[in-house]
Amino acid sequence: MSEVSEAVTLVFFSFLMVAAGYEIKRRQQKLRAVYDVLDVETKHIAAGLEQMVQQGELRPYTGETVA
Amino acid sequence: MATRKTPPQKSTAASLLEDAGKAVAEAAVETSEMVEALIATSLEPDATGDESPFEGATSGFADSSPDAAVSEPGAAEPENGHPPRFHFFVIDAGWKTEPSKVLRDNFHMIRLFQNNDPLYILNREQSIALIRANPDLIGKDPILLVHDLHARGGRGESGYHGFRLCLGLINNPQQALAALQKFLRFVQQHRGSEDIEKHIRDKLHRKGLENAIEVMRESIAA
Repeated sequence: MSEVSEAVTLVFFSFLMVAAGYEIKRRQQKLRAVYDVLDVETKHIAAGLEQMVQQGELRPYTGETVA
Repeated sequence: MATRKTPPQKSTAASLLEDAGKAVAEAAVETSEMVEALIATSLEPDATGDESPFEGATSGFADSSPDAAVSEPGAAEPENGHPPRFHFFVIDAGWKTEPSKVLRDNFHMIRLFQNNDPLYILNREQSIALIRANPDLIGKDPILLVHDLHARGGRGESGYHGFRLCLGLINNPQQALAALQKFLRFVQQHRGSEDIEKHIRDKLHRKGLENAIEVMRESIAA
């Protein structure tokens, strides 16, 4: 009987740890999706935007009109 | 016996004293700024409960004037006598969402709190074209992308450095506004930093640890 109890406790504890790990991972991913530095995959976006600025396609917002 | 005058030594001592005085004054100013920032951060209520890693950021760095001039044809002329440190870009395909409204209602505030660094707002067509070319951005917009001009040409493959805030992933308008404010606060407080990306990574790491502790606490409580 005690062996069964120990096994149930072990399974429950393992499940708890896996669930906690999953939740931590999920929150980290959500956080990094909302805020993050530009990585290798997104740096080219900044490059493209700067190119648009250089070509005059983008003008700074002056508070009067939205480009 | 003629007495030898030693003006260079006096001048050195005087300059040392002067330097020491300046250092003390700078340290005092920096300390007072840090205390003010801490007080402002600690007094601010956070009722939104969002997970901004920029919450409670304090400036621990001396201001450094920008040294990388921007001379592109479309670039903004420096309004405050200094070339801009950052370029801000708003990408918004036009989803009718509350975060989008929050961002559009606060364009002027973004400029005000960023030392008038230029804010470039892509129109709908430009945003859609950009997102079509980068489909992983669908649903993440409106995006506030900040390009760090000082970090240009530094480490990294492309030489482009910066960070982004994807407001489209936040559903609640109050949380979106709080996230925007915290983001701007962090950028403003660290604009003198040599490597602001490092501070963001540190913040994210710290926030991740806090999340882990919170999850463990919730697990135990359950």
